[in-house]
Amino acid sequence: MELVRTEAETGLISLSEEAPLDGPSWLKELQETARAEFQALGLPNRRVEEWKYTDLKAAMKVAFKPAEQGEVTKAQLNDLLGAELVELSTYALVFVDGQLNEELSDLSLGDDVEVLSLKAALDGDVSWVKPIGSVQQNPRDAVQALNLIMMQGGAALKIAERTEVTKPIHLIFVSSTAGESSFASRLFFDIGAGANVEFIESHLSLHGKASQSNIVTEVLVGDWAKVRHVKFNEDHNESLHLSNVIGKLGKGSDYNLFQATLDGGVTRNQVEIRYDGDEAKADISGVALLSGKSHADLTLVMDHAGLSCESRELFKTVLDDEGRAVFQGKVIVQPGAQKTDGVMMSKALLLSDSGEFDSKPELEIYADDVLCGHGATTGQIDDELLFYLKARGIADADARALLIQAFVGEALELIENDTLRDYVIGRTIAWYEKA
Amino acid sequence: MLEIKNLHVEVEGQPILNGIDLVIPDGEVHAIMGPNGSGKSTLSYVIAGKDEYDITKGDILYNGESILEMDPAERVAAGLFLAFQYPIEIPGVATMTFLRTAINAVRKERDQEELSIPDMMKLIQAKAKDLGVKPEMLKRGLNVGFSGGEKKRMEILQMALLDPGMCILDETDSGLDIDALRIVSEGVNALRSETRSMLVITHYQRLLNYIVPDKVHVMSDGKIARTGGKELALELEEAGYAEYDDELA
Repeated sequence: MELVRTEAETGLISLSEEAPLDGPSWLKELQETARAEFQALGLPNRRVEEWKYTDLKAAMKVAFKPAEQGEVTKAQLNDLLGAELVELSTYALVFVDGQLNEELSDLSLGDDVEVLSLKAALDGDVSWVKPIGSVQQNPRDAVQALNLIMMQGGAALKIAERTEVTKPIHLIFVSSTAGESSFASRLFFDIGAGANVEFIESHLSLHGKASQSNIVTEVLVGDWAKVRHVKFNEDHNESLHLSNVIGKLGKGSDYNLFQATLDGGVTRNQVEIRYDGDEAKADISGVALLSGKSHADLTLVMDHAGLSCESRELFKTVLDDEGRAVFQGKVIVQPGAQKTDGVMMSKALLLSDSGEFDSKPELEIYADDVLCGHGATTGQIDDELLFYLKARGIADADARALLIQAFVGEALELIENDTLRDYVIGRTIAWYEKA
Repeated sequence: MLEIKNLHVEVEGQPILNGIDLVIPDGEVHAIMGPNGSGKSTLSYVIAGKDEYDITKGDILYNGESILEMDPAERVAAGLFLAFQYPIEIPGVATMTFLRTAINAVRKERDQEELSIPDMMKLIQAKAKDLGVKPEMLKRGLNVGFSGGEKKRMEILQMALLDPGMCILDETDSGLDIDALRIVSEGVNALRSETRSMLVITHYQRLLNYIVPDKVHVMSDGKIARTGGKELALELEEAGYAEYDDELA
């Protein structure tokens, strides 16, 4: 047990004690366990295996106060999104300071899609939201535990069987406060068998202030359902963004999560996918472009329990200045999960001498008829490629930009929505033109 | 006109070129032949501006101006073009995007108006057709999955599109079968003109049956050992390089 508490831990412990835990009894039990765990363990530090490269105890100096839900107008929101995203036809779910803003959101998504704010989901006697808090299964994960205690907003969404959601659902998180603030949100998606849905997730700040956000997304993917989720972060360079996506995949389902992180302070994107059914497939890929002192961590657990499942991970990182990226990918193949096919690859491109990339791929295989592999590379811009482009009249800076674009392009191609892919490509180009 | 004056070049302290003197007037095609390791490819890279070479003495002038202080892209804008012996594969950069970027970069440096996308597409597609470059190749990553012959045709396509005054072809015949050699040579010959010079670097005489040079130089030990007319190439084919190569003599 840690005897010395940091200022942030003391702050978080007192906040967790103030948390009312006034939800339904099935949740309260989980929350009390989580609170006891967090108070015993504190923030994870580098001596905790899963947090070796992202020492949260050191990174989080103070705990920002939870934000009161502020005001954001439609015009302000559109300004923040920019023309390209505004023109993208979507159903918007807008979370201001972590809480669903019903006025700015599209809550009528047809008869086959039910949307509830987290509060409505927990206060009402809604049976389908009962997996909230139990899709996550690791009570010793401090970030998930904190979220469970402190979640002050979010949404629950149920998509009926065989429903084709015609437009992408855009999850827009806006931080509205003029000072430093924090929020904890929880999303729960129950996606019916054979349904098809696309999520876009963006994070914006009205006043360009640093924030601490903790978002847990629990997803139940029904048999043969298809889910696409693209998450985009371009946070303030002193922000702390902690994200968990925890998914359970049904038989034959098809789940893709693509996460793009541009700069920001400390970002941890943690993903846990459990393959419950047979023949399910998932692609968890992404890019991180980090300059200044930005730190981004992608920690994945792909837990194969079903037969003949497939997992693909491609993670591309570009590091400038003192940017630091962490890739931890664990593929578990449970006894009996035969014919598992897993390929994991992470590659980093270093533009400076002081960037750092830590890559820890792990395979835990308890079945004998599987095909699993992983690879990791770190390199600089290839001088031969650069000379070739320059020998065709392309100036040094443009030639470098073209090679960076080529490097991240392999991953960005995985974004299926053309407009969204062009948007993310545009943001990456702006990043390296600035770098 | 390209003038190379008493050029001495070292790599990591090792002398590679030991006093090259060479003048290629406008409109002429010169060939440089020589044994492996004689410094032929080094000469082509030094002209193009690759930065791992130390020029210890001498100068290279193009149209009367020294190019040694220019970076590689500036040399291309000035009118120099090197067709690589081993064109490089760049996955993730679509060939069409690469060609558009290169053409507009060079046009901008030459104070020419940048081409619109439709005009650019028309230009590229027309020249590609002449060289038998298939439209699918333009969509793929640059040189990725191209055969040896396709890569060399892509080099000549780039040469045609960038409109150089001085073309350097480094072992363009290597890895080509006879049909590919003919197509590539026809592409090169179509670019011959009174205002454009060429330096054809080759180990073998056969390329010079297709691209007939005005002059042939033999390079040995980092120097021009002999200069003659096109008949010199035939003589070398008969006698080999033994006379010019210490290891073969």
